[in-house]
Amino acid sequence: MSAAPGRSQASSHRSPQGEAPVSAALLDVENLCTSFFTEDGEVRSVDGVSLRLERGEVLGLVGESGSGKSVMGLSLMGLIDSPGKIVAGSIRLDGEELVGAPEHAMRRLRGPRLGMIFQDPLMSLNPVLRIETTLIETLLAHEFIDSATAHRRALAALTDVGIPSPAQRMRGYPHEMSGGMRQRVAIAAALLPGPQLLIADEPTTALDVTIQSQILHLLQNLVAARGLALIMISHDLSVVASLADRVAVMYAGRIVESGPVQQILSRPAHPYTRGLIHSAPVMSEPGTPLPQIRGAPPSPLGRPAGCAFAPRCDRASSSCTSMPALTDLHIGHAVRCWHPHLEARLPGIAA
Amino acid sequence: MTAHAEGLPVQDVALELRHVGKIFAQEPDWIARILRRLGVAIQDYRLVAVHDINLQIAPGEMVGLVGESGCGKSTLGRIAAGLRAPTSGEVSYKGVRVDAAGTRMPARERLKIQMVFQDPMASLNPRRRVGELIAEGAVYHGLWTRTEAAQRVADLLVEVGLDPSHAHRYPHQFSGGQRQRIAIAQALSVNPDVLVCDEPVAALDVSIQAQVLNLLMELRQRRNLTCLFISHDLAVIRHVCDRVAVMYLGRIVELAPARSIFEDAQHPYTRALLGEILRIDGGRRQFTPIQGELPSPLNPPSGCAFHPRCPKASAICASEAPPLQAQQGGWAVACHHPG
Repeated sequence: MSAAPGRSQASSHRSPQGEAPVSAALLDVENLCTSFFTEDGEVRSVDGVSLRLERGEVLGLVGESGSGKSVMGLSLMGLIDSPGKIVAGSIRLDGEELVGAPEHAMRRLRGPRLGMIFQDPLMSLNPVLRIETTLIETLLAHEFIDSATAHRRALAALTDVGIPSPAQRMRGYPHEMSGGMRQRVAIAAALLPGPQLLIADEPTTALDVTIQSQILHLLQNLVAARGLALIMISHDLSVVASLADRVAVMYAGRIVESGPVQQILSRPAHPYTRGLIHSAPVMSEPGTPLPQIRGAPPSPLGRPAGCAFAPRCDRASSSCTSMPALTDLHIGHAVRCWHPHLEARLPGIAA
Repeated sequence: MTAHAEGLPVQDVALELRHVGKIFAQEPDWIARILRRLGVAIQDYRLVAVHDINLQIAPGEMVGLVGESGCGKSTLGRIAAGLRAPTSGEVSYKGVRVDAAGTRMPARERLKIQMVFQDPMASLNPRRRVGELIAEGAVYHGLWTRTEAAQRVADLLVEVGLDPSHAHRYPHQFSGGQRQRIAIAQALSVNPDVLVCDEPVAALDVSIQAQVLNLLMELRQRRNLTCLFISHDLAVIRHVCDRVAVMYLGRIVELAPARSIFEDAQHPYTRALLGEILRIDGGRRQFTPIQGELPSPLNPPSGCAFHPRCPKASAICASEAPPLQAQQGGWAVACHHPG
C-alpha cells in the first residue's frame, strides 16, 4: 500500500543470507485489519492501517472514541481476544512477524521487546500484590536472575520514574498510592524488562492537569534517555502534539492523515484534522462561537460507504462516496481525502 | 477581608454564597464509641471539603470554578444548586435563602437553580423516554399541564438542537453529545435563571465538546442565564466564562476576570495551572511541571495549603493561611507573595 508515510525513502533490504526480507524500521505495520465479530455483525475496528516506526521515534496516534486507536495498540501487543481477531495484514517488529505468532512467542516478546501502559493503572497493577512483588515477578518471568538482583533492579526502576522514598513504596500496595504514582509504577513495570517499543494508551487521561504534565515530562525523559520508540495513543491532539515526532490521525478505523507534527499542526490537510485543531477552545477568541464539526462519529456497524467523514464534512462531494487512498502530499505527509486543504491553516489567536 | 467585601448592590446579585463551608465527618462506629467510653483517644476523621467561600454572581454572569480533583469544586457546585446542605454559611438567590440547610425554603425559588452533570448516562433514567424525562419536573411542579407538555418538550428539543420527533426515544439511542443536550433540556424545562454545570463537556469526544460549549453559550445569551461553570480545564473556562475562581483544597485562591487571567495570574498555583495548558499549535515542548501532588484533604498542610508545592513559599506560608484579598479590577488573590 502507498499508505505508510516515509515508505518512499526507507527501503526494505534482504539480509546477508538472502532469506526473508528484513525491514529497516523497528515496527512495520502493513494493512492491519482487526475485526470484532459481534451478534450485530462484524465491527471493523481497525480497517487497513499501515504505519512505520523507527527506533527512538515518538508516534502520536490520535482519534475519538471508537476510532480504533486502542484496538490498534492491543493488536500490536497481540492482546486481541475472541470475539476479536486480526483478520488481515502484518505486523513486523524488527523483521519478525507478529500476526499469527503463537502465544508462547508473543509472551517472549511482550515485556523484553514490547511494553504497554494503560489509561487506568489500577487495571494493570494487581491490587493484592505489593509493588515489589509486581515488579520482581515481571523481571523473573523474563530473565534468569536471582531475586536479590531483581529486587535491586526493581528499586532502581522505581527511582528512575521519580517515586519518592522508593524503598518504602516497594512494600506498599497500589491502593495506597495516588493515580499519578500508580501510573509511574505501571511505567516502571513496563520498562523493567527493557522493551524497545512502548505503547502508551491514554496514559494521562485519568490524571489531573498538573500530574498529567509530570507524567508527560517523565515519558519524554525516559524516551530520550533510553532511545525508546513510543506510540502515544490519545484522544487529545494537544497531548500528542507536545510529545510526538510524527502524528497519525485515525477516524472510523482508518488513518486519515499522518505526517511530521509541525506539518500536521500548521498545514492540516484533512478536513477532520483541521476541524479538531480549530474546535479547541485555546484556538479561539474567548466568548466567540467555536468552529465545530457537525454531527457525530458514525457507528462502527453502519459506516458510510467511501470516506467515513463525508457526512460531517463541508467539502464533501459526489466523489466522496468512494474511498480515497492515503496519498502523499509532501514527503512523509499523507492524507486520505479527495479534497484536501492545501493552504496553511489560519493561525488561531493563541498562535 | 474577603473579595467583594464592599459588596455589590443587592439587585446586582443573582446567586450569593456567604461563608459557605462543608465538612464531611465520619460518624464513630460502635467499636469507636465503646473504646471512647473506655477512655481511649479515637481520632475523628474530618474532611474540610469547602472552607469559608464567599462568591457573588451577577445576573447573566458566567463564573468558572476550576481546580484539580478533590479541590471541592463539585461539592461547592452541589451546595450552590441546593443538592447538599452546607455545614456553615448560606446560599441565597436574589436575597432569598435557598441552600438545603435553610429552613423550608420556597420550592419556586429553588427551581430557579438547576444543575447539569458530567455524565448524562448517570443523570438520565435509562428506562424513561426522553419526552417523559424532560417533562417530568415541569409537570410535577405544576409549570406545565400534561396536555401542553408534548408541545413544550418539542420546543425544548429544538432549542437544544435535537429533532423534536426524538421525544419517544430512550437515552441509550443517543450519542454522548446528544444525551448531554437532553440533560440540558431537562434542566431548562423548569425555566431556571441559574445553571450550575459540573464538567458538562469532560466526558465528551473532542469534536463534540465544541458543539456543547457553543450550545451553552447560545442558551446563556438567549435566556440570560446566570451560570456557575465547573471544570478542570482552564482553556474551556477561559473561553466561556466572564470570571474565574481557582480552587485549591477547599479554598478559592484566586478570583479574576477570565479574559485577563491568562496574562496576569497572581497566584503561583494559577500560574502553574496555566503553564500546564497544552497548546495545540505549540508542537513539541519541554515540560517543567510543578512538583508534588494535591495533598490529602484529610490531612491538609499548615498555613497556605499550596506551600509544599509552591516555588515562592517562605516561612510565613507554612504558618499562616493567606486570606482572599480583594484587589483592583475585580481581582482577588489569597497569597502571601502574589504576582
